[in-house]
Amino acid sequence: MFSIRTKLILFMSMLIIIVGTLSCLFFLIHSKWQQEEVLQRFGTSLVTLLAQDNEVKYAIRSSQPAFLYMPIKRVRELDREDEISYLRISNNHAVMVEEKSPQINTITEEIPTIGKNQQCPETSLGNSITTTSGEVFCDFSVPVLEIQTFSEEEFAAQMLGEGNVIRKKAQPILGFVQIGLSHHKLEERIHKIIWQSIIPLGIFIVIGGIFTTFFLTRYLVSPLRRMASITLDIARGDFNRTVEIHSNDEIGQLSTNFNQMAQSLRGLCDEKEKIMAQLRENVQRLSLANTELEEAQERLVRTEKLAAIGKLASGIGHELRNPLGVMRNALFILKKRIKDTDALTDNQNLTQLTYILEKETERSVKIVNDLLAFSRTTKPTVSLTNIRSLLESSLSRLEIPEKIKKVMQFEDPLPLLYVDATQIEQVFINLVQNACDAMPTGGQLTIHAEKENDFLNVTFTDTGCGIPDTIKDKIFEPLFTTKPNGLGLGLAVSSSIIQRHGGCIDLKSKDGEGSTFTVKLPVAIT
Amino acid sequence: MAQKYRKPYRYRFSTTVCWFTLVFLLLTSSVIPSGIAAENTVLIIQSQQITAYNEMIKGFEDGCKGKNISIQAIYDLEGDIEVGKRIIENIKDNKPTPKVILAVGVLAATLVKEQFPQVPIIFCMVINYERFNLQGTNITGISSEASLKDQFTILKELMGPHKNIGVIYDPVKTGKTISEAANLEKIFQFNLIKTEVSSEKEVESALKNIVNKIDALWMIPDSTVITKNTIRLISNISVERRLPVFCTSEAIVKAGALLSILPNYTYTGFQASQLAQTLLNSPTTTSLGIRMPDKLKLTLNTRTAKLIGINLSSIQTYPDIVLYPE
Repeated sequence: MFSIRTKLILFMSMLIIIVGTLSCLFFLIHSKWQQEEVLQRFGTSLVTLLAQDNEVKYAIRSSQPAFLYMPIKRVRELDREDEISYLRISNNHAVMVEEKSPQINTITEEIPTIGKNQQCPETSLGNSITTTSGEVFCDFSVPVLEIQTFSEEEFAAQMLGEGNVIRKKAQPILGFVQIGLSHHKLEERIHKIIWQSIIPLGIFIVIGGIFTTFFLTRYLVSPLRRMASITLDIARGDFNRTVEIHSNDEIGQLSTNFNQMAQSLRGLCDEKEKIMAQLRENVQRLSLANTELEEAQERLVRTEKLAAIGKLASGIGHELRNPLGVMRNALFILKKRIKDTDALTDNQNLTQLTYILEKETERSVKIVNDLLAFSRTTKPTVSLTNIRSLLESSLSRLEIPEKIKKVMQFEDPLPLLYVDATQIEQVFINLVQNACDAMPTGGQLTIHAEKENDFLNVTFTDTGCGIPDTIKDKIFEPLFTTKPNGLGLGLAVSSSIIQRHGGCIDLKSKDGEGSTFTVKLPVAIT
Repeated sequence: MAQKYRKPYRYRFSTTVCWFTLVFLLLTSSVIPSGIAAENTVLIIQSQQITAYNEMIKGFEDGCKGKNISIQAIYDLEGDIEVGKRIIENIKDNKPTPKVILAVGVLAATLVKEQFPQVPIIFCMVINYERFNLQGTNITGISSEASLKDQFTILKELMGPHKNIGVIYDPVKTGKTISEAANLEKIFQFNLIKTEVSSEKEVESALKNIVNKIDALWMIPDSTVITKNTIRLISNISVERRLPVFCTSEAIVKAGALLSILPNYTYTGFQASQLAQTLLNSPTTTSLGIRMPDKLKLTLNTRTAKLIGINLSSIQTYPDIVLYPE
């Protein structure tokens, strides 16, 4: 792929070569033709001069070659460049004088004698003769006519008022004059013209062509290259580049249009950036809305799920509660009677069995209670509550193993909250119980309460085994548990209670390092 | 035979007288001094028979009377070179050799010049004598044209100064005349517009080219320019464009040109007789050079003058003027 500059240079070079060659060729042909014409005229003049010379006529008429000396001398004087190669004057019968230039090698016998043995020879001017030695001559031959007085007398008669008194007669031929001019001189002149005119002309055309090419390249290609470079910059995003305008011609017009185009592009790009920014903002909003929607959907699904479970649990709870109550009462009576009848030898085994029955029954009651608690969707009955008291009450209800160190950190004073104390206490119990379950070999449970903005944050941090990332999202779902004997309703119930209070529970946990549950409850506005 | 000569009629009476004189001389020859017998004889050779030549010869004959000059013979070459050569050969063979030869016309002048290099020759009636190399130690001549100064003096009198004068010429034949005329341009206060031609065919276009630029046309005796066809053409254009034409030929004036300035041929003959007498009286002098005609004659075409609207009053007082038509 050639650039415009290369194409232009190639085109101009071709043009220069063609124009230069044609000009030089034309000039050469024209000069050659001109020189041949000059030679022709010169030869014609010489031969005519000699043929019309009266002395020549007298000499031929009287057959006196000696009389030809002066006319030939006069002609020789005119031939300053020694162009005459041979000269021959003859009468109607024989050659009277024959001269040959010492510079030619041709013998005169080779040159045909004009007029000899010819009855009506015609004038021959400029015939080319090539001899055996390779020399070329331009031959001029004209007849020598008798002195012309007849027409002058006729003219005199006319001038003097008496025309047509004389009969017209043909002039008799006395002899012939033949002159040969060497082509050598002609070639020398042409060589001189080639060296002095044609070659300088060629050089001038080439130099002129180079200057023209340089000018065209500079004037046409350079602005285009500059424009191409600027176009590249604009393509890269630099819209501040402009083309300098130096002329009012097409290049100038192109530069103006280019600048206008760049300006329009700059405007469009700015507008695009604005739209893109707006789009990004909208996308961000959409993404946020989508997240919220997903969360809402998740919440809705969980709520529905919880509702379904609650409904089922409520049904089952109601159905199991009464039998369980009867069974507990019966077990209480049975236990009392066994106690009263110490005589039985195998009382110890019965006591152990009733203990097991009592424990499992209690456990079944707790499960039923949990199910009922979970299924309860009643609105919390709130009252101003001191959370610190509530926490201490919750802790007192639990049996925390001794190997677990308990740390309490409360901001003083803690604000009072509008909460359902019973429900919140259940939440705290669940969380503390879970923390204790997470530290079977002991550890530290830290309970921290502080106000943050309009919320009160209560955190429960344990140093237990932690919760793996894979199950963090499922931890608040009902019926999900990692404990072998757990029902999976504690955290789900707690989360439901806190949400009903306008708060939330957050979880931060690292596998193997422990977990932190944060309960956020809105502070009451007094 | 083509060779012939003619004796004038006026000599017939004299012939009778001469016979008696001859007898008387034979009787008295022994006592007549030899010096008286050597008479000044002039041989006249004319190129052809035309009125102008004859007028001139008449003037010569009249001029010879009373000057002890006798005309040996008058030869007519009939305008034919071959005839002329044979006549000249015969003259050379016959004795005695004439003391002076009067050659009338160009044919006679050129042949005589070639064949009689030792005899004083007077030529006249040779139009454009400069073209024929009529020069030599034995050559005397009288020009057949009025001098350029004389022609331009009359032209200026008639036209006034500061005029454009056109002239058509063949440089081969009359180039020298035009060069001389160009030298006189400033002296006579006119502008010479020259147009070169090389053939009769070019005359018409040359004339049409200059006719609107000139105030008058000067026709010089140039055989390329003046032919039967061109004379008619020039005359027509002269009348159509009201262009005055000046020339050196009475014949052209009769054809329609305004004015011709030419020698008085009879007086030219008389002038030639005076030259002959000078040459005869001084044997050591063989040439008197080329002389201008002493007397000129103007021929005016009054009809053309009237058509063109030229006032001829300024030159009508000229001594030797011929008005045509009379």
